[in-house]
Amino acid sequence: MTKARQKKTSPKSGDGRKADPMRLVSGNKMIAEGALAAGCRFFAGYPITPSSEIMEYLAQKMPRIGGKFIQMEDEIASMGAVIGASLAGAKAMTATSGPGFSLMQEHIGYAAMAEVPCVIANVMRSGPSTGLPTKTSQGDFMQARFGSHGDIPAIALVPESPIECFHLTVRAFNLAEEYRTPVVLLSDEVNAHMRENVPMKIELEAEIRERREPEVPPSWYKHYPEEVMVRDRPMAVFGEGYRFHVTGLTHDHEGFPSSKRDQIIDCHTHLVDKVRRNAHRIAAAEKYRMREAKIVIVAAGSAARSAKEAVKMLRNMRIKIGLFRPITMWPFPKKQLQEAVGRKAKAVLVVEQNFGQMAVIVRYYMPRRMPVVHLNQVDGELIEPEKIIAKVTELY
Amino acid sequence: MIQARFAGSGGQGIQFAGSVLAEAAAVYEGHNTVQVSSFGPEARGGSTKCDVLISSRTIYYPRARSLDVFLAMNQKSSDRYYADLKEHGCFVIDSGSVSAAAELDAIGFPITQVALEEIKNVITASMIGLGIVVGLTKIVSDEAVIKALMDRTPPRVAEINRQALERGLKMGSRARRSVRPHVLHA
Repeated sequence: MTKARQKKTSPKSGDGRKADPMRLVSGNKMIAEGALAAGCRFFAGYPITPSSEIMEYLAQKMPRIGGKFIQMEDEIASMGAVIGASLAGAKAMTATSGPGFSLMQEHIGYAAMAEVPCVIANVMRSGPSTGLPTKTSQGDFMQARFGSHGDIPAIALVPESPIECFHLTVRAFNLAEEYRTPVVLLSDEVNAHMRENVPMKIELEAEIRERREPEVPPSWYKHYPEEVMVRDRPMAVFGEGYRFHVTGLTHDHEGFPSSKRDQIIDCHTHLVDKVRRNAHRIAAAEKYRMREAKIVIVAAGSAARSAKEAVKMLRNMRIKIGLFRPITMWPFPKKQLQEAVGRKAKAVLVVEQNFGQMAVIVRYYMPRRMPVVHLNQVDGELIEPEKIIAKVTELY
Repeated sequence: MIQARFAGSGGQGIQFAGSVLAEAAAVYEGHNTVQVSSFGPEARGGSTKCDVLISSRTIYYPRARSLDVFLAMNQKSSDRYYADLKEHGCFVIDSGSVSAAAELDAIGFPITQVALEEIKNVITASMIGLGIVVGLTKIVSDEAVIKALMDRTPPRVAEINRQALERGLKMGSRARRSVRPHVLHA
């Protein structure tokens, strides 16, 4: 379980800087820094509020460290360039917001089908369509899972703070390499434009996963595995002598289109199962003050910050309440949720900045007798802790 | 926790003043700090505000709800946000561009006028405003805010900004003797 809790700094003492020096950084910049720390050396994108700062920062940094930065003509092309770069051996990413994320879906499906590792940072804003460019929302939870046609092995991570933006970006790249699939980072406008304390020197939470080169001679190389759901397997760089074919069509082990029934089943089962069967390795969540909680709030991303404030205030009033915060939206941390809620809870309150996308999933994993209550806010503002408190008091 | 808000029109340097205050608190004084910028959908102009939350504890909810300090640089933002001030909150206005009702306890300073006449650059008004807020409330120390400013400004314009900030600090400190804003703790 990854945890990126904000470090509490000691209060002011004396005159100068602290022993543990801090700086003030926005979530967007932390995504960019996380990408570089993870070894990302290719970025293609098209500017869109509230994600543009990621692009701006990488436009400055990439050329200086031998990476490539391209501003493409639109989001579809951006995703295409990212797939190409990844096949050519680079760790690659793009960043966008709702409208751009919608455009990228076609190529996200392609990357999933062709098993191309890449990272898409989607800084959520209010939708549908152009919506409210400068306001926050969590409207893309479902799009990250079901945006593409067909069944894709969706992995999506939801950060709650700038420092977590960093750690989850690194994790997104690691997961992309491990499972050879596109990984979505679901940040939002609140995180994007908020600057918060971040240590001057950030320690990585996990080792950086590099792409594994094939250990066999080119003539033996199979780009796609013969057994299903294999993770962490070698991947040859396109154009270095290892022959393979890349297509969006259902394919065999060498990548060539196939319509043989057993190969079709293998291809699709492998795609979905490599994430589904490894969900226990990927799924992550944070439990906040869950001890003897009678009401469990489920909230992710920036909404979880409001929920934490509400929990803190309610606990001060001796109301037994806790927060369950999914860090991976997909795969959803269902086991952790079921354990956290247990038998003693009276109700589950799902707080989110949409009309109930996560609540559907929570409902699905909760026993029938457990009430699952929605609390939604879609006005572009971060939900106020008072609203959560009012709802909890009603339920308690 | 201290909640401060700077508001005015786009291009006045509101966001810059907010970031200098936030960095002074986070980098030089080691407080947990959150700085939230919000804009309208316009590329330029429009109204803008910058909230800075300073606390010795972890800040979860990153929004200012009851302001300890509010600096209004134009009428529109003054009208829009003064209701967010907490009781006895410190309300600073640019007396040249904002006319607040007397019962609001606003403390008026001729911010833009000083920027134009003494510093001879209207864009430094936000630095004077920042100086006044810090001088008046001492949310952060004078040294911290000056250091934070010097760290962020390119050398070409550093001196004029510093001059404006110090002028503001002096105006604020002087007013502090007569106004005595409520004691603030991070």
